[in-house]
Amino acid sequence: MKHYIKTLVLMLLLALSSNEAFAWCEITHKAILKAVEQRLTKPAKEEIVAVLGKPLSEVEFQKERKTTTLNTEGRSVTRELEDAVVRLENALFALDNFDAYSDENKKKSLLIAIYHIVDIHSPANIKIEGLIDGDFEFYHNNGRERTNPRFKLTKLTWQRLWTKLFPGRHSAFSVDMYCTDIDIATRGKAKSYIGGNPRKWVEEIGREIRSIHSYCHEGAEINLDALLPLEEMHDECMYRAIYRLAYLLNKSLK
Amino acid sequence: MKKIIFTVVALVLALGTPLEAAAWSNRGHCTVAHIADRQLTPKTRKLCEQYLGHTLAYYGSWMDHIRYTKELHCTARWHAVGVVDDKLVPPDDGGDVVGFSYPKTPEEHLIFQLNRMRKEMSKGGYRNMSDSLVALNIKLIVHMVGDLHCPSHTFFIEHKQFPFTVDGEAARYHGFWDKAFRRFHKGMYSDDFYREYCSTLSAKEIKQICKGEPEEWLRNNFPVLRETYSLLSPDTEYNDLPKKNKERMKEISIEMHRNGGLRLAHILNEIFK
Repeated sequence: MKHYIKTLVLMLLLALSSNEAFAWCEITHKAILKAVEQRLTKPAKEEIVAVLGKPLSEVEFQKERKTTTLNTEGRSVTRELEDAVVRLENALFALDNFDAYSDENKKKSLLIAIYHIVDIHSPANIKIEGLIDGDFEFYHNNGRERTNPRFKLTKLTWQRLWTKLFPGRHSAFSVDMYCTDIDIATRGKAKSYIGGNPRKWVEEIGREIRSIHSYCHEGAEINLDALLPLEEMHDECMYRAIYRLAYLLNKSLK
Repeated sequence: MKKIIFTVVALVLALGTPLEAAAWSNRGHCTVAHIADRQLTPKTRKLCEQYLGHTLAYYGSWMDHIRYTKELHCTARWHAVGVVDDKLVPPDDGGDVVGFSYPKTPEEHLIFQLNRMRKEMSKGGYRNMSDSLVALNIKLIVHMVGDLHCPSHTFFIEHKQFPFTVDGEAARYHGFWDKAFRRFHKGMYSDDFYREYCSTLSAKEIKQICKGEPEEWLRNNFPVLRETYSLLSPDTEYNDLPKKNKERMKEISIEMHRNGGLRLAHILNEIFK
């Protein structure tokens, strides 16, 4: 079983690619960064502004992420590496040893850490070799009997499920409204999110995605009520990304 | 009884499938719920947060997403109300879920069910309920008060659906008002709407809006709701309508969203006081 999990993780890691993924919708990305910022210590906030030239909540997620590729400095990393967790671990190493890095690489390390922590928690961003390779179509019905003339099947895609359908249910939420809701939803649960390390977090979401895929896969038809627990998972992944990123930044940027 | 059944059937045939679309859409319901969020007393807010684990706005459109699930199909008719000879009657639910059937009784409409939940939960009644039932009732009330204020969720038997177009595409009265928030308040988030149209109201104005009971609010809305049918014209394009018609429709949208939110807060504050 251990070997199976390790193989799964390896496949997951090899498949993750920060340059291709489009993990969350734009407003959700902004809400995540704002919520992280609200949980940062003062030194961490100041260091981020000093390195990036702006607060965390103003980082343009979709625009800037494609330009980050870590040059080596102090640790052996090559540009060709697709292993997001290794890149993340390197970036976190860099954060812990900031003084040894040039300003340019400090900026890149920080952005890689931010992007990858958020990315590895998005179900839309997870590929599992042999099972999920980007996107696929499935269907959900509208709850009526098949013989009912109003029975309807709606086509959905895996990506759309996580990046459009669930965020779409809160399309009138501003970033501030999202953050207020996150505060309420995660009250008293902060400690439960921050245990572990990036490699374990990827294993965790990989297991969960694999479980969902057993009934939600290419061509499957699922009942309407099967979507409800998936929305809870979407939200939980958001909360994990927020608290773990805040924890790591607070730990490293003292 | 036979007359009521006959007129309900006539209502159904006249209006087609009125409950297919979701009143107000996600944005409108979220806005109604957000306005209420801002008007809750500290005690009500604390209790709602404990029961829901989210803001009211999070559950604004939830009832639309669950209405055809097996467990909660019984709520399918609670989104609207028909008006026949000045009596309130159940709307059509558009069909039954497989393997599930339950009788259509005269109480299966928005006003009756809203009042039932209010009565059961008020005066400390919520303390005798399980947490999950209280949470369910709050989520239903959040949505139903929004529907109460949506023009397309009160069905007058004398008003029939008519064809018209929006941006050249065939449209229906129900769908038109579903998209009202996006059409008339484009680019606004719910908190923008609150700031623009609610934050400047005085306590006296809010009290006046919230005066009375849900059935009175509904009946007081009748002239405005009937007016919406005259603002749209059969076989015309919305964009060709006179400017004053569009402005009036926007005013109605503002009034209905605003009043829905304020009254939702009033109901919840009353329940949990």
